[in-house]
Amino acid sequence: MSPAILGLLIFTLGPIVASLLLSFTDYNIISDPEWVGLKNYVDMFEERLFWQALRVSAIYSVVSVPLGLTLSLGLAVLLNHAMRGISIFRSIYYMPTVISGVGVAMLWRWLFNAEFGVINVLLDGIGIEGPAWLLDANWALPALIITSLWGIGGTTLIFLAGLQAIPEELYEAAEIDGAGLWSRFWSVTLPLISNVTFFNLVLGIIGALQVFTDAFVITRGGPNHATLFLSVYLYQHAFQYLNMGYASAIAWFMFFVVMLLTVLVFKSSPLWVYYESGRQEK
Amino acid sequence: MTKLIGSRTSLISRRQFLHGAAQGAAGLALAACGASPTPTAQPGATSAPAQSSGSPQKIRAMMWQNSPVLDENFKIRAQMFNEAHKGKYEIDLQLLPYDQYWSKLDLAYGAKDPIDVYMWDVQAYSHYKNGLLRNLQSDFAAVSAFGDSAQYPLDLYNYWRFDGTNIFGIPENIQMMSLFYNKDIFDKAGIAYPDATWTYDKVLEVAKELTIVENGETVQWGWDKGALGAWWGAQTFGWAAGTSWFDKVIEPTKFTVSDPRNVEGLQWLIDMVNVHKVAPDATQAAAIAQDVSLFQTGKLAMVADGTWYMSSNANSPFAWDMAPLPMWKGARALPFWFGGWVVANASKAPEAAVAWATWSATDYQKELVTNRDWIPIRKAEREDPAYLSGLPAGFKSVMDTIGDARIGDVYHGRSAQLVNEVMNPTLGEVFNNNMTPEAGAADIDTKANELLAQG
Repeated sequence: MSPAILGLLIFTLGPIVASLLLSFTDYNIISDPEWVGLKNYVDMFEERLFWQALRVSAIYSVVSVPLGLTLSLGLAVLLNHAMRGISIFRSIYYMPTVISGVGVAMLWRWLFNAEFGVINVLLDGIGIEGPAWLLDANWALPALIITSLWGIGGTTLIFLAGLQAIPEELYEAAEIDGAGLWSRFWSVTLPLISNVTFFNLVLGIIGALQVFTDAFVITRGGPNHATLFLSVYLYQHAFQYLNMGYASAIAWFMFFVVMLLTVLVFKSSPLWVYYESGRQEK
Repeated sequence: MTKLIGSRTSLISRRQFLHGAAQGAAGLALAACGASPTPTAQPGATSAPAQSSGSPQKIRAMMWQNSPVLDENFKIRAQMFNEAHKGKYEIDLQLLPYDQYWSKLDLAYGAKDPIDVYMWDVQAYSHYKNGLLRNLQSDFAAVSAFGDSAQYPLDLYNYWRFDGTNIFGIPENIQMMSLFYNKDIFDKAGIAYPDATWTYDKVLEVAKELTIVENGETVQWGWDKGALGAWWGAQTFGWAAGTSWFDKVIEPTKFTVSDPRNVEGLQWLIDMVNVHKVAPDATQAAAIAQDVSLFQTGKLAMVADGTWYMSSNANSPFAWDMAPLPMWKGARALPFWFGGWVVANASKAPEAAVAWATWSATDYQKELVTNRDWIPIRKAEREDPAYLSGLPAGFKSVMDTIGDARIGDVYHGRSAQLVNEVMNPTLGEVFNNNMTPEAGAADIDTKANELLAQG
């Protein structure tokens, strides 16, 4: 057996199988697992905080994914122009993606400070009294959605690669046919980067449903569970309450949600994704 | 450890579980590679290496990290123990960050190789619930000094008799809550320092005098709730008024935060911020204190906090002291906590583990007089003039309120959920003025009682 397959079995498939089995047990690490069948899954759907966590993850995904895609596409279009120093701009927009994790989350915590955070200072400058972002249950989730835009540099780069692959003659032909700027974007650019959009959409959905660091570091799931993402809820049960069986059930639920959404996006792709060799076979 | 088989559930041991998982993985390997799985040796429990009669009993102890000085003193303590018990016991003390501490302990239990003796915190109650802690009653009774209520606050030890009879931890230090005050601010205003006669009404009266507003901005606050903002602090108002947040500390069955006497305490704390404007809200507090506590900024006259703040307050660039927590409704009530050791039931050297715990609560107490790391549990050291001479003048008056103290914990299998999912989020909403105290109290009762009903 090759080391790669051995590693896959031990470090990937092994834990996957184990977590599936654990999801049918009552297991707190310190005692032996106790087989409880589907109890964890039944309990999950009866738990108030599970629905809150699902709601938070859903809102975050529904807002942050399209917002991120739109902004990164807009940025990519801007960065696709030939001008002096464009490579510097591209580097600048990509740089935040390189710096990520807990350090950035801490930075955002300061930025959102209601009293002296930069965001509220800027809002104050234009006559708007900023909210207590991270202390207000109505504003904490929007704050994290804004935070999610920090990493759009990676998506922008992929869009940029897609834009640069569009043959220039297609734009010239469209222009000869009388297409304006918007028509060229709508009828040439968007269809020809639809495969890139598809790729970014799938990654965006998966990433949004797994977001953890920002929610854990910036708000710890609060205030009053307003940013209790499924991943944070899972973490709490696994490592704070030692409900490993229940946490495994949450993990498998998350997996099925991600898989379902991914399958839906794949199934919908023949309707809107353009492939060079023609429409993708169903 | 094996649990009883329930009527609707069946048990599998960890070994059976791992065996099943291994078979699953082996099946996958077979499918992937077409090769036969390599037979593996039957896993078995590792037994402790046999110790010759002449070699010392070796144990592992664990404590969480505090500060470089405290951590170093813990290492010195381990060396002292080893020297005092040379040839008999040998301890290997590990210090871990608090967030890794419990994971390591739980994983050690899971691996059937538990840490022999470790510092208690409320999370260890789940270890008791799972039958993992040693019943220390006979070990405790074997130390004659532990029967002397003149030396040890034995009445308070009952909180660690989880089954109502037997003790499961040996306390070595104690922490309480007190009122810290900035002497410079009081001197400047010509106001007498707080003392044991103070009530919360007096706190409000003085806080008004000590709050300074300049150009519409508060530059000095009279009061901050400090640890009274935590559930275990806020409940002291209810205690003083003759009620409590839940019916009993060990295995509570009902939360009663919405009792008007509890709500009144919450209302007082809120009013200090919103009505009297003598205390900062969370945003204002965060704006003032960034790297140090609000009290250490010197912009706060009084704060109710734990005695553990004495060491960090020592670095404050102003004179400060402490007084007993004020009285409410004519009575004083405050929380206390023990620091102490619990021993794993499955320890391979329980005698040595117990020896460490008892030595820490007896012989080692003398060291606490000089290093002042913790407040000694033994009265002789706690009231030793040499110990008191290095502490704030009001310290003794705080410790004299020990008779009014109750444990600031809740011991239940769902303690962490009660705190993290119910009490903390709702109190946050109340203190951030997003929820009235009445609504918050009712919310806590509803959600906490739902959790308790789940067992």
